Amino acid sequence: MKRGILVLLLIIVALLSAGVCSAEESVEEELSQNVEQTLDDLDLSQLERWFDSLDEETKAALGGDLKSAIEALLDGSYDGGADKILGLTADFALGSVTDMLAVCVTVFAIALLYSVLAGMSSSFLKKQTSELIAFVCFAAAATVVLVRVGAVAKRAFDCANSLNSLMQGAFPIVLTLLTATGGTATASAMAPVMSLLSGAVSSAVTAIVLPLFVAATAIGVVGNISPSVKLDKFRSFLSSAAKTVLAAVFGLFVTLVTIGGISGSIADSVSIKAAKFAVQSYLPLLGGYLSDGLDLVLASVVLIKNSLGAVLALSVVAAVAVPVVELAVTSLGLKLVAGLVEPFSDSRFSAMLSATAKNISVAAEALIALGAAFVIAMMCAVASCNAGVI
Amino acid sequence: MAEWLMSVVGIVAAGVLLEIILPPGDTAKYAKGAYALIVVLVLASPIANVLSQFRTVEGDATAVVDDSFLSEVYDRIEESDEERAETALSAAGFDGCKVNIFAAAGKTYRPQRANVDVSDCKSASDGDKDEIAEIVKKCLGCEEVKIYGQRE
Repeated sequence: MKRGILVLLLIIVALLSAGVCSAEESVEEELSQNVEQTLDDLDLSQLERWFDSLDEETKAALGGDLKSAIEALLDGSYDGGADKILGLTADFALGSVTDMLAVCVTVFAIALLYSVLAGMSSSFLKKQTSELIAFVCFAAAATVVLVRVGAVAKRAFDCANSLNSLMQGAFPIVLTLLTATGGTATASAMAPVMSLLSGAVSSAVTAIVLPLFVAATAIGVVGNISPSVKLDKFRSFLSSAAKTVLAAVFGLFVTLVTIGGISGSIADSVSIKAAKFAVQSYLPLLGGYLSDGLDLVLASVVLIKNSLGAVLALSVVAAVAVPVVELAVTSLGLKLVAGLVEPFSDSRFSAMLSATAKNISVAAEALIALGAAFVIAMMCAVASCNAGVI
Repeated sequence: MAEWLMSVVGIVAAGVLLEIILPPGDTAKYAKGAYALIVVLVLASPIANVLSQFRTVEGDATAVVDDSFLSEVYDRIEESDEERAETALSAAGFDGCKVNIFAAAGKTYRPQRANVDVSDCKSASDGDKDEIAEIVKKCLGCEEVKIYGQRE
């Protein structure tokens, strides 16, 4: 009798467990279907075009095309990520060091040639001949430096424009997903902030900061051609102006996005939780499964929002890392050559090289700030409207 | 910008040339003074343009929500809510009821009214109207519930 009751109890427990397992599996399957359907309904064409504009190595580091990357993240089979981007950046850095080495050797050789010629110039009849030699040697070194700086400046401009395209494609989608999860307060708070970032802030970088960097660099080079034309303070003003604009614009932006994101998400979290509680409280035993109907559609939207946010954050890192590394390598290379030529060559050479190296940091800061602002905005959106749903 | 940079390079090159070709003496002093004024003029010339750039840096980018996507998602939420309400009614013993939700217009999904067709529900009678309405209201959180096809 007792054994019979024990067997019956065991059978009931086994059946209940199987029921629970099969219920969980069906919920998982339904969630997966919801995710697939939501992803198909979402218009990702602008973002896909941005992804197609990347080179093959960067695309591979990000996990292929956009939809594949999102699906892989949701499956747990994502093979892109920070370590691949780091590898890509390291490979690029190595190539950049090799290129910069050629520039450094050329400038060093020109400075060495000048010092040899300057030693011989005491035998020239006229002082102007020495000046002419100095001018020609300096102009040759300046040309080599400006060609290199021009290439990195172009890459910096392209990166800033690329980030702007990414923002204009990403922000409407993120706001749509936020609104779909019930995060209307957050979406309302974030919409003007995102418009500010993709409009005014991005324009300030491409129309003011980067041009000021180019101007400061050019002035820094040509201002050292002749000792009678002194432009170092003017170069310093241009560089400071660029940094001031950058600091002002991004300081304001980060303040707005943090306040907007936090206050909006608090308001939404309360309203979404209230709706969920109303459903669950009515049916205490079955409430969990029945309120899953509300959760599964919204959960699919939340999952897509979060994985899209993660993919976009990685994309920004990949887009910004390469030009920043190139700028850093160029700056370090110029500082190295400035230090090497200072002992034996004319002070104009080392002054020109060190001024150029200092200015390059402005462009790197601008790109890092733009990328960081984008990631902050994305993370505020991703972190919002999850607590009320999941 | 490119034209300004070229003019700066040009003026500096002119300064180097001036250094080379000017004969020593008082003339050189006055020539260098005039040259310094020209340098200041060239350097200050783009400042007005830069200040106007500040005014035009507003950008007309606006982040707009995709209404067609929201419409698709809300349709699916509506379907799953209707299924949920029907399941709740079945659990309470009212099998065969059909629920139809009418959501409020706007960006957020909010069920405003629900119509319940009980014509296929054999266990529902006129006296169960209030109970059915209560179940659906609590399940969906909507303000108004209308019952159709109830039996006497």
